[in-house]
Amino acid sequence: MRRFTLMKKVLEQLGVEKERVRLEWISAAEGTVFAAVIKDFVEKLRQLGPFAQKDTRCAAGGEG
Amino acid sequence: MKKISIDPITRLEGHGKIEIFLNDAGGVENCYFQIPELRGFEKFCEGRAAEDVPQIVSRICGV
Amino acid sequence: MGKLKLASYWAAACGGCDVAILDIHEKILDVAAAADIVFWPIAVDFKYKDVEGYEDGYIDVCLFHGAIRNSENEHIAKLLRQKSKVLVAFGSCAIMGGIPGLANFKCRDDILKRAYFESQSTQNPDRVLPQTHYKVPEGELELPAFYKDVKTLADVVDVDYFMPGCPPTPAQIWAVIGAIVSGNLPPKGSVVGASHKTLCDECPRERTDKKIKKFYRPHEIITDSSRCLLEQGLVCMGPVTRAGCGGQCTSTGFPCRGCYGPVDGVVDQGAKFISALASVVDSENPEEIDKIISEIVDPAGTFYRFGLPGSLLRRAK
Repeated sequence: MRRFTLMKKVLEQLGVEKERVRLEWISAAEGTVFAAVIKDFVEKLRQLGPFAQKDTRCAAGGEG
Repeated sequence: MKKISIDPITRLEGHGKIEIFLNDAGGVENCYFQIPELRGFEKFCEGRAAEDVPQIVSRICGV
Repeated sequence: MGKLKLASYWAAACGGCDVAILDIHEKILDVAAAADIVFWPIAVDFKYKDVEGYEDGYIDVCLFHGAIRNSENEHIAKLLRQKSKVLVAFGSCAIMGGIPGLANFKCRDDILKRAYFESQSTQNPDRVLPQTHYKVPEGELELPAFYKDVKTLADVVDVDYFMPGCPPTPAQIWAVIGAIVSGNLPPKGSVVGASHKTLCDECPRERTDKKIKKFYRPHEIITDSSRCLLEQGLVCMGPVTRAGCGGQCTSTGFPCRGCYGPVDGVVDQGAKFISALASVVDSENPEEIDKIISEIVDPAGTFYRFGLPGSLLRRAK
């Protein structure tokens, strides 16, 4: 929890959108939950597109 | 037109070059002083902690 | 064998490394006795043209300071690589980007805009920006291209040795010069002029138990001069930083900012520090953890103070 909280803060400053990082606790017995979370996350990442293509530093979102 | 380049200028802190253009008579027609460097302290100090700025800007010039 | 041929160059640097070399004081005379300086812009008048005229491998050792910020820096790095038998990335900027590398938090256009249009001391009513080529009545002028990202020296050329520090200490410089002169060099790729331990390993401050309920900024606390700064709640990068500086900052009560870079075996200094720092936060309650951690001002800019271009996420592509 502590590492994750701090890491998220750093990643945000480095331009990694917070939607790209997620922490879930899933037990080995919760197969359906695991599948649902992964499916949901993959879908989110697809919508966001590849990380490197967008320069999140630029206010205008340009090439930089 | 003949051009004399003094590149880099030396024995000072920072980068610089001088381009001197000579006319046909061999006299100086015009002379340009250029600074081929920028690091952008003006921008990247934004967002840093105020107490760390003296430590950052001391790296503008270490001479 | 003739005298050693020594070169020193600054790319995107402040000149502090050059001054650190001069800070070996009268020993510079011993250097002059053992070596001829064939290029060193801060101290002697050689031009790029002179270097271009040297045979390949003519320079025995080149100490290269500064990051790669623009096309001229990269061009000269390649030129010096070609002309030098041994190329040393000298100082934090050359090794991992250094302070100029903080620019990788920002967008190139915003940097140019701030420097040439907006800064309080700038007068530029015509909103002129530096151009790589510019026609004047007498001919054409050229300026280097300002890159999108700051790079490290090793991003653009093959580097033989890495000498960390911002700047490296004169004592370490002298030791390394001694090794160069005697030909007693370690294997290629080695870090020279520094320790293989962490700064904490060499720190004389007393350590007990690291449990932090609150992080302090320097003006919020009067620290105990004998106790570990991190234990007192100051963000100090000692646990993940290579020793070799002699604790210049920590001995004066200022926490380490990591200029010597990561210790052996650590790839990403900032990421390692996230782990180290988070582990000393003394709470199990998510809200409290959040509150304690939110008191760290500018974590990324602190953990990657000297190493952003060399980091995994902002490594120049």
